[in-house]
Amino acid sequence: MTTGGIIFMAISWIFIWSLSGFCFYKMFKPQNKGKIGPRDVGM
Amino acid sequence: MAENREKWGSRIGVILAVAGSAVGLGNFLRFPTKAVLNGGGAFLIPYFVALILLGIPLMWVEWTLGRYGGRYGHGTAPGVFQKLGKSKALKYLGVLGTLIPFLVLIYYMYIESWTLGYAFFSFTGELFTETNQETMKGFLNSYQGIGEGSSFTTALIFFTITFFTNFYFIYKGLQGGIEKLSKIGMPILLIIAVILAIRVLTLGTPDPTVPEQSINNALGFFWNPDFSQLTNAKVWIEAAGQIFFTLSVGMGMIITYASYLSDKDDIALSGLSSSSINEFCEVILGGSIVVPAVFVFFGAAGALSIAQTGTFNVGFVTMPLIFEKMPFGFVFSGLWFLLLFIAGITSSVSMIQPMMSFLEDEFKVTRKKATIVLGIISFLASLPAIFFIQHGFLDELDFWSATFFVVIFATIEILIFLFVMGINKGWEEMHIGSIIKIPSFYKFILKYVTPLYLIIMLVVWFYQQFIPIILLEGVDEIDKPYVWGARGLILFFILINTFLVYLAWKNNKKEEEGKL
Repeated sequence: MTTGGIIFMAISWIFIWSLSGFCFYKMFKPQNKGKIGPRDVGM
Repeated sequence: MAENREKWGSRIGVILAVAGSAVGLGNFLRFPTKAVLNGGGAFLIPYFVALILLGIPLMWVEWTLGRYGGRYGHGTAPGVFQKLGKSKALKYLGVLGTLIPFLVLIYYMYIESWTLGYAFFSFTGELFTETNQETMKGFLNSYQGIGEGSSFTTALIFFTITFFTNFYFIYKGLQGGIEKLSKIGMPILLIIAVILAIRVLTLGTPDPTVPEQSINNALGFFWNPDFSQLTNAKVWIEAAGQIFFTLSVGMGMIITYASYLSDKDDIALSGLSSSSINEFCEVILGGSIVVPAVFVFFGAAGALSIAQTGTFNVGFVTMPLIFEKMPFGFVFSGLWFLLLFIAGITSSVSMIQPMMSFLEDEFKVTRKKATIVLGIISFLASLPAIFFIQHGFLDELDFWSATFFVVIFATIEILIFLFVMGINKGWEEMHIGSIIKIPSFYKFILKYVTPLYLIIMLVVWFYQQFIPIILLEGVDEIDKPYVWGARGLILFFILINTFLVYLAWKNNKKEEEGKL
């Protein structure tokens, strides 16, 4: 694996992990749970 | 206002359902193959550009249109579009929103049934009696009933099981069927994909006599960038096509799923979350299974030539041969096909739902009746794809529905969002109940970049491919009647869907006028 390959893999993985992490953080953040409402008990 | 329509039971349910709709066979088979053939790591540049400028904006547009329509009791594009403006033609622009999922469904369920059959034959060990590419290809042909002396019986049995499983979940309704399936299926899918990725990434150097076929070099084979490919317009079109395919945008399914949201439910974060789950499954997991596994067992030249033979060949011919060479290979092979089956069924139920919603919302048909009617029609419509697969019938359906119509429909959607709903109203609608604020530069992207991107895609595609495809260039004489047959079937369903839209609005004219 070349340096270029490592860089591309790292950037792609970091981007997707960050995007997923951001979404889950926002979704499960306590103050946002209030906005979600009673229908989200299943969460 | 629509008080009697079904609603999702939980936010995580709808996110997983939309993610399940998006995560399909393409994430694990199509994406890695396309990446390898189009510049490796460098392919990720046009891919992420298309994701940010095309996929995510279109995803938000569909969620917005869907929730807006659901507020007025419309769960499909004809009703949503008509509700947005006064022109009577608007509803006909939405015909593709019910047609595309149905057309894809009638062949997708068949491919999905192969994964179930192959999972069964993996666990029974029958799949492992074949030891090379040629005999494994023969097994696939025999399974499909197109090999010498073979019959359609096996394929039909697994297709029927798959078909009834799909319609069982549809019959059980939104919360009891689709949502439950997604809440159970998606975590299982993720667990299986992680297990398979770990297994592949820990393969090391399976054959010490060929040290260059190591997992490190395999990752290099996938990720090392070939920048020369970026000057090729085809690579950018392929990347944009993959984004369409993987996010299920431009098909009408997201509109239907979003129509079951409540008025104040968030869509900005939900849309982004379902996209991020899909991307996780595609780039992180999908990129860590097929290509590295093929490389360590077949080498660089072998992997490249296998990738060129197409995604079905990779998934159903090469992958079983790879699992054969691993300890407990039957378990991993079974898990692999089970993974594809779960990915398939969470997608196919989403393809059934738009037509169900159309019948329920616009014709006031009960769920039971709609399930029976739609079940019979889709079963019968699937049969030509099964019996004439060797003559390109399935490929023709796939080309028109999943390649051509989706770009056309996405263009219609964005234009309606911009010029009928209006960008300001649309932007405001997108933020009702929103947990996150979408960055304001996305308003500019939605207004100028996404439509321009789509129009460029269409123009380039027309210029490069449309005429040869219309004129059946490269199609064998013997296959031409079947290809025309597929086109005839598509035209038939276009006319039927258009007539159904006409009929629905004729029947509901008084009620519609009252609402307006």
